[in-house]
Amino acid sequence: MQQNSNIEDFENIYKDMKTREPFHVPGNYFEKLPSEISDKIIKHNKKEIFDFIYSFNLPRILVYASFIIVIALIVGRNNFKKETNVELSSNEIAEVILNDDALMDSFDEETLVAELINEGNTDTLKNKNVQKSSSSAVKTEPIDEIFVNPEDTTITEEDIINYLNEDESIFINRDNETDN
Amino acid sequence: MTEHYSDKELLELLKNDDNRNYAFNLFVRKYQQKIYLHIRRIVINHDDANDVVQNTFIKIWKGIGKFREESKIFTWIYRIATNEAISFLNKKRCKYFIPFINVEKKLSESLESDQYFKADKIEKKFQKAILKLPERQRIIFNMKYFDELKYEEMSEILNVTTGALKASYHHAVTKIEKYLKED
Repeated sequence: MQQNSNIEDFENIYKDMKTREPFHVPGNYFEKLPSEISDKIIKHNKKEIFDFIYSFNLPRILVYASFIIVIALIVGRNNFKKETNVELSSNEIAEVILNDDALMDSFDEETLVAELINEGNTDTLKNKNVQKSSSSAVKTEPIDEIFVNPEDTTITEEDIINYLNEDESIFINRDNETDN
Repeated sequence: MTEHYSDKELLELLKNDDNRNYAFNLFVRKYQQKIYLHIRRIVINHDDANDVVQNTFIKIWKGIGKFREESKIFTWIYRIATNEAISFLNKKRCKYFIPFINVEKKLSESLESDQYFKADKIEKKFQKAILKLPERQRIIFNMKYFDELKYEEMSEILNVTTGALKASYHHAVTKIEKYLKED
């Protein structure tokens, strides 16, 4: 009997609860809700546009940035190579200068003068480009007594110095021309 | 005013770009109360329900252009609202590290503290009994008992067979009855 009355109570409660509404809302809530929703939609659309632009541009920015970095690395690497080349060429130049100096050192002025006077024997001068020759291989004679042609024209030491000076002046003039 | 427009007429208006905002306003006015109460019964708190309702209507606005009219618009928006409310509760669980079992306890506390919940003793007890149900069973009970939806409509909304829905509803009523008789 007690159980039956409980079930009856529950059935009444079950029917009754359907008609009651315990969940309330603030005043004018449903009046304001449509405008709140439309405001939120406008904000949402703006955000979506920004997100779209951002998402569209971000990969591009990354691609451009990586491209620039790669180019910068390649250019930097080439510059480094050029510098190395410059260093190498300057080393080479230095080597050439040293060789030239060594070559020039190997000239014996007396031999050179002797060969200039004696036109028939220029072996030493010819060979100087490729190999060193010993100054002792050339016979030396006193300059003021050497005759170089059959007309008995005497070449004095002063003439030779003048001749050499003329040659040097030619080189100096050439250097000036190239500088200009 | 909004009751004058049928769902079909509203959809026609929504497809026209010139009337879209006006039509959506009418659409919101037509369904806001039903959607609000459905969501409120799931999330309990008014502020939470307000957020979920707004998100639901934003999703409806975004998706209404793709709505194919294969189902009723009413069941479509109910599905969105239900999914939004469930995902809101899941997010809340993750945010506050609440175990699944303690959710109904939290919701019961929320029921007590909510200034917009006005109920007498028996109403409170009835609501707490509903909150004792597992989440899916609670949603099924609310949809059948309060919203008076047909099993076919509920099946379309929740993607559950009508047989399973009937069984679930029966179990829910039994549990509520048991809970009310215990105290």
